[in-house]
Amino acid sequence: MAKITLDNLDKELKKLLAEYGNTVFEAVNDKGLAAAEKVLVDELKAASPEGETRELKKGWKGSGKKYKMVRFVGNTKTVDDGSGEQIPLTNILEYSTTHGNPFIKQTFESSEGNMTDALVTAVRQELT
Amino acid sequence: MTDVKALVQKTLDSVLFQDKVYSHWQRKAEIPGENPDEYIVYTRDGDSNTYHADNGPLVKSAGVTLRYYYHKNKLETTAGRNLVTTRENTILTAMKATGFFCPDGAFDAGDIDGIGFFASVFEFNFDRVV
Repeated sequence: MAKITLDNLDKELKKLLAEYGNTVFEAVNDKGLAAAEKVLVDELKAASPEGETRELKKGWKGSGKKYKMVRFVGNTKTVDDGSGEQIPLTNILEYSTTHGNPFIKQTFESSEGNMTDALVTAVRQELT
Repeated sequence: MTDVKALVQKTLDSVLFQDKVYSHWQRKAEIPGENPDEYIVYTRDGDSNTYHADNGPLVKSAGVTLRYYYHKNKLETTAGRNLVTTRENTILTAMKATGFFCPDGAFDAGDIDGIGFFASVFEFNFDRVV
């Protein structure tokens, strides 16, 4: 690091803040979002109807670090729509007007606080 | 306070009623003369409070899930597929013009009712000061 004088103090401070920003960014992208993703997967598992096979409960998966600064959580369980086509069971439960039993959006919204807490805790741990 | 349900109905009827594509709240009803291949069912799913950080007025955000159903045979022809796309765009444009927002757009949910009709699903929100 260059010697800090009054003349270059502002530049050095900007550099330090940028480095800190990058560290926080990496902590959020890596550990923070992973913690939040885990919370949502766990809460969706808990809220899922059991069924006979428990496949819906076991089908929740997170995207992991595939994308930067974003995580996706989805379910792999599909069912026959009656004509041989496989469609996600979550679509039926969440949106069908005849066979629906919506719980996903509701669970996501009620999990927001816990996801935020998990993210902040993980980032703090990473920075200390 | 704005009646969100009435706003949805009015908005959809203003662009689709002429083609006999009727919109239903919660469940489809039988209507004489309706288009047998297309219809819409919408439901409200929450009306959460939103506060502005500057202690401004309370804003409520109403969620509306809209399902545009079309018969499976629409996918077998170019004209049918184009019609579905046109309808989706019409719904989206009309709802946005009324003040709804739909950040994720439409998605293909499949034959969610097992009745031979595919569904395109839109999740809208409508914010208003109360």
